[in-house]
Amino acid sequence: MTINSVGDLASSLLARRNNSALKGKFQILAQELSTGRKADIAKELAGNTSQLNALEHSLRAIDAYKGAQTTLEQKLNHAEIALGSISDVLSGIGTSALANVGAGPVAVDRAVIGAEDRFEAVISSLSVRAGGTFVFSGTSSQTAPLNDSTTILTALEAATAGDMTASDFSQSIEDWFAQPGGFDVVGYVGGDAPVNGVGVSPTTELTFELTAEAEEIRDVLKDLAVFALMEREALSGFPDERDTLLATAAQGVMQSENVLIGIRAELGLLQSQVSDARAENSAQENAMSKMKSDLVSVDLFETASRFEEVQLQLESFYLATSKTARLSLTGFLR
Amino acid sequence: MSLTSALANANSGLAAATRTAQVVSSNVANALTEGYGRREVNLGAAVLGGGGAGVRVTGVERVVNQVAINERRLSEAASGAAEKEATFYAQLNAVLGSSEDPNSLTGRIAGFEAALISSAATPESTTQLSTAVNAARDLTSAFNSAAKVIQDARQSADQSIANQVSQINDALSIVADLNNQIRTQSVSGFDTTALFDQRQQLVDQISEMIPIQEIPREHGRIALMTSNGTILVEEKAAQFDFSPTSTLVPEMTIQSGGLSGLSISGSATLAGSALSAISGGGLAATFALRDEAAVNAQASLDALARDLIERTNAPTVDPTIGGGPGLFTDNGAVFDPLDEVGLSARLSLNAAVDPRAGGEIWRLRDGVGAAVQGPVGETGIINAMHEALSQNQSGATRLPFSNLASEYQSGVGSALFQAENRLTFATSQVAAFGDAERAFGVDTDQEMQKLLSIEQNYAANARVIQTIDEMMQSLLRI
Repeated sequence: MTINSVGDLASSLLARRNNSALKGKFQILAQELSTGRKADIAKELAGNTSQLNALEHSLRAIDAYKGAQTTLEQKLNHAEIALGSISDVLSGIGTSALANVGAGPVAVDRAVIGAEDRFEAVISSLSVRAGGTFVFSGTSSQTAPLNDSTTILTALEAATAGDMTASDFSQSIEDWFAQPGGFDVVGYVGGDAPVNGVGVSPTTELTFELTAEAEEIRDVLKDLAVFALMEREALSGFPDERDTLLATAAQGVMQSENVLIGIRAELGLLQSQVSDARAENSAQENAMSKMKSDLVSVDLFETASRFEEVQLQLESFYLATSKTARLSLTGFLR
Repeated sequence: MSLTSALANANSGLAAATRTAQVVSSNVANALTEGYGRREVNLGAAVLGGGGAGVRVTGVERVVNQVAINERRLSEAASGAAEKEATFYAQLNAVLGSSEDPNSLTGRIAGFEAALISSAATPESTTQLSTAVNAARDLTSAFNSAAKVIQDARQSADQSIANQVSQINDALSIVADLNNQIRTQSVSGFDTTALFDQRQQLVDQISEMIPIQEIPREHGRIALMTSNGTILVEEKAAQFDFSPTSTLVPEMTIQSGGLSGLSISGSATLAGSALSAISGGGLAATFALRDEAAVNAQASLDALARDLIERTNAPTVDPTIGGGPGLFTDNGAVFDPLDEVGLSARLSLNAAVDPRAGGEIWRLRDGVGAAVQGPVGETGIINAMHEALSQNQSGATRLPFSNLASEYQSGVGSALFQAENRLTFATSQVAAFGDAERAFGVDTDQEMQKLLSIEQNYAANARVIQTIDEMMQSLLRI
C-alpha cells in the first residue's frame, strides 16, 4: 500500500517561503501607506518609464523657464520704470519751451535752465540695472550703456564748435548722433551685437532688444542735448539763432514724447507676453504634476484595505504554523 | 532440526529489524538535509534449499521523485539564466537611475538643459554658467559610469564563465568517478545510496549552469545529456575549454576574436557548437551577457553619446569650433565617426570650458574656440545649444536628445522588468518542483510509526528466541 506522506523539509520550506512572501507584501504595503507613493514605480510601469521621464524632463525645464521669466520680467519692469521717468522728464518741456520762443533772449535763457540736469537725469535713467545687469546695454550687460553726461556734452561742444546758425548746429548734432565716430563711440558704450531671445516657455522665445543706442532713444537724447548745450551758452552770440534752435528742439522733444509712448507700448506687449508664458507654464506644470502623481501615487483607501487583508493572512498563517508544529508523532511518543 | 531453523528465522528477523532501525535513524537524522533521498528497506522471504529460511534484506531503496528532480533541474537552469540577465540589467538600471532622481542619466540631461535655459536668461552670471558647466560635466560622468558598469559586467561575465567552466569540469569528472564506484559497489551488492546522494548533488550543481537530462544506465550509472543531445558524461566525462581575458575593453568581442569562445572535448556525441550544446542555462546566459546584451547596451549608449556630440559640435551651434572638438569631446579630441565603439566611456567635457582642467567657463557662452571673452550678454551659442538638444533635428527627423536618452533608459527598464518576470516564473517553478521532490523526502511521523513496528517486531522476534530457548531447555532437562 502506498501512503502519501509529505516530507518534513517540504513542509518547513513551504512555510518559510509563505512567511517571507507575506512579510514582503506586508512591508511593501506599509511603505506605500506611509509614503503615499508606489514602492516600485518602474515595476508598476513594466519598466517603461519614458512617459515619467518626459514628465520629469518637462517639469525641470518649466522650473528653469520660470526663473528665466522672472529675470526677463524684472528687466522689463526696470526698463518700463526708466522709460516712465524719461517721459516724466520730457513732459511739458516742449510746450513750455515753445511758449518762450520769440519772447527775447532772456526768455530763451530761462527756458533752458536745468536742461543739463535733465539730460543727466535721462542718462542715469538709461543706466538702470536689474539684478546686477544694465538693462539698456544690449549684450554688454555689465557695462553702463552710456558715458556720463559731461563727456557727451563736451564731445558735442567740440562737434558743434564753429557753427553759427541754428541749422548748422542742428546738422552737426544730427551727424554726431547718426554717424560713426560720434555717439556710437563717445556716447553708447554698451554691446553692439544684436540681442538674442530668451526662452520663457517651451514654445515662446522673447527678445528685448531695446538698447540706449536705439534710434528712438537717440532722438530723445539729441533734443535734450540741444537744450543742455543751450544752457551751456551754445550760439551765445546769435540770439535769433538760439531762438530758432529752441523752437526746433522743442518740437523734437514733443515728437520724442510720442515715440516714447510707442516704445512703452511695445514694452507693455512684451510684458504681457511674459505673463502669458507664465500662465501657460503654470497650466502645463499643474497638468504634468497631476499626470505624474497619477503615475506614482497609490490609492490610499485601496492600499489600506489590502494592508488589512495581508495582516489577517499573516496572523492566520502564524496560527496555522503553531498548530501544525505541535502535530508531531514524536511529541506524543513519551 | 526445525527448532534450530526456527531460531535462525528469529535471528534473521532480529537482524532485519536492526537494519531497518538503522535506516530509519539515518532517515530521521537527514530529515532536513537537502538532496537526501529517503531510504526504504526492502525485505524478502529468505529461501534456503526450497524451504523458508527467515527474512532477508533484499536491498535498501532510495526513494526519490526523479520526474520532479528532472523538472526542477531544468527550471533551475532557466532561473540561473534569468538571474544572470536580471542582475546585469539591475546594475545598469541602477547606474542610469530612476526617473525621479536628478542624478539619473535623464535627470542630468534635464539638469543640463535647465541650466542652459537659465543661462540664456542671465548669460552674464558666472554662477549660472558654472552651474551649466558642472551640469555638462555631470552628464559626461553619467555616460562614463554607465559605460563602466557595462564593461565591468562584461569583465566579470568573462571571469564567471571561467569559474563556471572549472566547476563544471570538476563536477563532471567526479560524476564519472562516482558512476564507476556505484557500478563496482552495486555489482558486489554493497549499499550505494550515499553515493547516489552525492552524485545527485553534483548533478544539481551542474544543472544550474547547463540544463541537463539524467539518463539511467545499467548498474546504477547515469549518463548526462544536454538539451541538444550532447552527452557530457557516459563512460568518461567531457571537458570544457575556455580561457578568460584578463583586461576586457569595449572593442573586444567574440566576433573580433578578442575573446575566448567555448569548446567541448571528449564528448561521446557532440551535437552542434559548444554554445548550442549548453544553451538555456546560467553558463549560456553569461555568454549571452558578455557577447550580446552588454555589447548591445554599450552600442546604444555609444550611439547616444555620439548623438550628443554631433548635436553640440555643429558649427551652426558654436561657430568658434573650427576643426576642433565641441563642448563634448572624445576624451579631449574630435570625435571620429569610425571610432564609435566605447565612446560613452571616453565622453568628456572640453577642457577649454572646464575650470577644473584650466579652462574658462565663459567659453560655454562665447564658444569653446573663443580666444577672448565676448560681450557678457551674448546668448547665441547657449540658445543654439539648447535648441540643438531640445528640438527635433530637421532633416534627420531625430527626436529631442532627452527623448532618445529616455528611450534608452526605458529600454533598460523594460529589459530588467522582463528578466525579473522570467526569474520570478523560473523561481516559482523551481519551488514547485522542489516541493514535489521534497514531498518524497523524510516524514518523521512516518519514520516514527515505522520505528514503532520495528520495536514490536524486534520484541516479537526476541520473544520467539526466548521461547525456543525454553523449549530447548525443556528438551535438555529430559
